[in-house]
This record gives sequence, structure tokens and C-alpha cells, in this order.
Amino acid sequence: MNKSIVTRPVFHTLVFALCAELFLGGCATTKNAASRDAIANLKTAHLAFIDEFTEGAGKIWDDQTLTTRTAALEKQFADAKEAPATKADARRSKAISILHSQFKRDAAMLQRRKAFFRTIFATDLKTQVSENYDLALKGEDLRS
Amino acid sequence: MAAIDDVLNGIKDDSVQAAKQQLQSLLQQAKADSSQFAQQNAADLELWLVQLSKGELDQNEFNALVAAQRSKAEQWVNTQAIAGQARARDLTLTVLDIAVQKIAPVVIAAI
Repeated sequence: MNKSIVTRPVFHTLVFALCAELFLGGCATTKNAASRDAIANLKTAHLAFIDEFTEGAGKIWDDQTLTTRTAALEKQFADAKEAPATKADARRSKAISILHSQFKRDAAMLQRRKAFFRTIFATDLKTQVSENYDLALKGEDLRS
Repeated sequence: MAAIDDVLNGIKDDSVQAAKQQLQSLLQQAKADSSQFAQQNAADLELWLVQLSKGELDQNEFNALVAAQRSKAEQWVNTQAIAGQARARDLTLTVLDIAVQKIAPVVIAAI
């Protein structure tokens, strides 16, 4: 058997794995104050969004308000994703994508139900969302 | 007896006994784990199962909370990688899968 035929795919796999590691590792771990601020601001806005759409005395459901608030936060996420410091750092990009997916699920749930979150659920959800952002912020603080 | 034991002991459906025992075992492991992250996730999951059994959460809300915890676990793995401490941790994810796929539907049916 021709030895090069056997070893070439293995070699290609190793080169690919090395490139992937260099890509993920090489462009990571640079502190950026603006990125940290963006994540902190997203946390405040996301938690306020959940509060606004949690049942409460005198609240009346309005589809348009949900659409408007969702669009505002989507814009904030888009800006954070498009920031040069995010595009240059695969781990930061991943962290923001995870948070964005969480927001999209929350907004979609409200859109489906066309009703406010119930209080117990909202309290539990806010704990999870808040801890998710705290982990992303910890990632920012760990960077050198 | 803890509230979660009451919920799980109340499940008499033979078809999910194996899943119930696996969940109980994994919850115990998670609570004894050195990682505060795993301990907190187990405690949260227990709380939601109790709230589900009381009708304080519906199945959609329970599933949404599990998805949020899964998302948090993904973030935790990403943060670990930044710290240069990448290591696989599927304890949390395995517990969540069993809770959502096997236990929650039976708890809902029992209400």
C-alpha cells in the first residue's frame, strides 16, 4: 500500500485541528473595556425587558410594545456583535451569541404566548439570565 | 424529607423508574461535586421540579428554564476556555436531558 495515501488524510486532519486551535486561541484573551461595557449594558437591558413583560397590577398586554422593545434590544445585540473587538475574538463572539440566543428565546416565548411572564417563572428566569451574563463578564475580566 | 424527594417518590409510573433513579443519582453527584456551578444547577433544577409539581410552573416554562440553564452551561464552558481550563463537563447537561425528556412529562401528568 502506498504510505502517502494513508498518511495524507491524517496529516490534513492534524493541520486543520492545529489551525482551528490557533484561530480560537490566537485571537482570544485581549481585554477591551468597551466590550465589557457592552455586555454589562446588555445585561441591564435584558433584565429590564423581562421585568417589563412580567405580570403586574395595571399592566395591559400590547403587541406593539413587545415589537418595539425587542427591536431595540436586537439592535443592541447587533452592535455588540459587529464591534471590531468582538469580530477579532472568537470567544467573545461566542459569549455574545449565547446571550443573544437566550434573548431571542425569551422574546419568542412572549410573542407565542401574547401574555406576560408569570411572576415565579420570571424570577427563576432572571436568575439564570443574570448568571449567564455574569459568566460572560467574568470571561472579560479573565482576559489579560 | 426534601421536597424533591416527595416529587420523585410520587412518580409510580414503571416506565420511568430507571430514568427517575438515574436523575436522583446524578442530582446527588452534582450536589456533592466540588464545582459550585454544578451544585447550584442541581439545586435550581430541584426547585423547578417542585414548582412544576405544584403547578407554579407549566411545562413550557419549565422547558424554558432548562434551556436557559443549558445556555448558561455553554457560557460556563466558554469562560473556562478563556481561563485556559477547558474540560468537558456533561453532568449538568445529562441531568437536564433526563429531567426534560423523562421526568417532567410524568410530573405534569400527575398534577
